[in-house]
Amino acid sequence: MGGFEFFDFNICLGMPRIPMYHFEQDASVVEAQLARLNITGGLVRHTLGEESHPSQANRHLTRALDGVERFRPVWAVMPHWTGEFPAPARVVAEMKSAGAPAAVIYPETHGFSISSFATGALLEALEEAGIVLMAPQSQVSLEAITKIARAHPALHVVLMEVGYRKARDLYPLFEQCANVRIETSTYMLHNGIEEICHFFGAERLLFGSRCPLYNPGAAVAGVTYAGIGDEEKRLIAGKNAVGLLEGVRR
Amino acid sequence: MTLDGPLESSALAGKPMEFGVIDIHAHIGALGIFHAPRPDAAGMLDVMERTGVKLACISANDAILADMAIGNDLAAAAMRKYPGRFAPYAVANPNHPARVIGELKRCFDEHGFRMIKIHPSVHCTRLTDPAYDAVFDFAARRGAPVLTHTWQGDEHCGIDIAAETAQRHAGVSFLWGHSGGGEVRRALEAAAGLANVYLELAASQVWSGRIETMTGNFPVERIVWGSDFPFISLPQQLGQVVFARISDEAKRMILSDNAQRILTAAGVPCSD
Repeated sequence: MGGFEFFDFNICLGMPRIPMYHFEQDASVVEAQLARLNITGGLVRHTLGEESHPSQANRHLTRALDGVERFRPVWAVMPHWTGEFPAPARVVAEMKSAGAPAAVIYPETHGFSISSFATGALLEALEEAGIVLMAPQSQVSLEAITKIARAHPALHVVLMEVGYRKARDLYPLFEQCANVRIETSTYMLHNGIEEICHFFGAERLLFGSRCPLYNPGAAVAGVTYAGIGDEEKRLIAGKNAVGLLEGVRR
Repeated sequence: MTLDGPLESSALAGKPMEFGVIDIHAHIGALGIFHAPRPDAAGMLDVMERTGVKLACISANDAILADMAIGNDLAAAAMRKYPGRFAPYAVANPNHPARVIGELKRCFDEHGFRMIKIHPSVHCTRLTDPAYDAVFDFAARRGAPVLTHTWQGDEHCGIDIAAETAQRHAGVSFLWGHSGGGEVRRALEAAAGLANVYLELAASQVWSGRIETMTGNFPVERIVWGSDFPFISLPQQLGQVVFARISDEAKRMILSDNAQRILTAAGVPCSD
C-alpha cells in the first residue's frame, strides 16, 4: 500500500438521467469502494442538485448519507428572491446544522445570474460563514469565476470538473485569484498537474474523482504517478482538503 | 483496506508497472487548439518511465491537423532519438490523393514505419469514401495495422461506417480508436463478428463500468490500451484499467500482450 491518503472533493450520489453503465449508488457501498483505494473521506453532492431543485437534492442527500461516517454533504444552493429557497442566513444555519462545509451552484441549469444583484447576498453569507463555494465549469465560465473570486476575496472557490483543454484560461484565473482552487477529476491534461504545481503550487489542487459515475482509479493514478514530489502528492491527495475544511467555521 | 492484485498496489504507490506496458494510441508534438505541457518526446518519456510504459505508438499532431509530411518526420525523429520507445504511425490524409501513397511509401521505406493512422473526422472524409481505398490497399500489402478515430454519431467514422469498412477490407487489421466514444455498446456488437477489429480504450470520460462492460461482452484478446497522450493524462488512462474490476491477467493482456501480438505481426520490434 502506498503512502497517499485521499480525500475526495467530488463524489456525486444519485441516478443520473442518462447513465452510461451500471455503477453503485448506495453511499455505504461507494464508501467501501473508495476505501479500497485509500480514499478515506469525501464531499458528496446529489445528482438532483443539478437535475432537479436544490431543496429536493439536499433532502435526498441528507437521507442518503444517514449513517455514513466518512462523507460530508455539499448542499446545492440558489438565490432566495423567488421564495423557493431559504434566505442566505437560514441556508447557512441549516448547512451548519447538517454538517455541510461546502455549497454548490448550478446557475446555468437553474437559470440565475451569478452577478451581485442576484447572487451577491448568498455569496456574502457563504463568505462570512467560511463555507466553501463549489461550481462545475460547465455551469460557470472562468470569467465569471474570476468576478466572483474578486468580489469575495475571503470566499474559497473550488472550480469543479475543469476540462483538459482549459489551461490557457485557467492559468490567468489562478494568477489573479488566490482564493480559487480546482478539483482534479476531469483535469486530464498531460502533465497538467505537474505544471500547475510548478507555476502556482500544489495548494491549488484538490483530489476529486467524480465517483461513482467515473472510475475513481483514474483520478488516483493521476496523482500517484504525477511528476511531482511526494509531499506535493500528499497535499493534493488529502492535506489541502483537510486544511481547507478545517477553516469552515462551525 | 484490501487490494485485488499487485498492479493496483503498484499504481496506488506510484510505482511503474512491472511488465512492459504498450500504449497503442499516442500522439506527439505541440497543438494549436489547446495547451499541453511538454508534448515532446522527452516530456512523454518522463511519464512513460514513471508508469512503466515501454513503448508508445505515436502519430504527430502536425501530421493529423496540418501537413502530414512535416508531422510524420517529427514522429520519425522521436523514434530515432529514443530507439525502442516510440513506434510511429504514418498519418495518411486522403485529401491529398496525389501525395498520400507516396507519403506512406516514404514513411515505410525511408523511415521504417510499420503502421498507419487515419482521422476521418479531422480530414472530413468518410471511412467508406473511395479516397481511402488506396490507403487500405497499401495497408493490406504491407501488413500494416490501421488506427482510425471512431466516434459516436460522426458521419465520417461512426461505428456502423467503421464496421462496413472493416468488412470491406478484411485483410487489414483495424484498431478502433476510442471504441466509438459513447457508442461502446454498438462497437461491441459490431466488432463481435469482425476478426480484424481491435477495440482501443482511450477516453477523456472515464466511466465506471466501461472496462468491465467491454471485457464482459467482447474477447479480451481484441481489446488494446491507448492513452491519447500527450493530449490527455497517460496515468489517468492507465488507472482506469489498473483499477477496473477485472482479473490481473485481463489487465496484462489489455495493457501489453495484445498490442505486442499486433505489433510483432506488423514487424515493429517490441519484445522485452
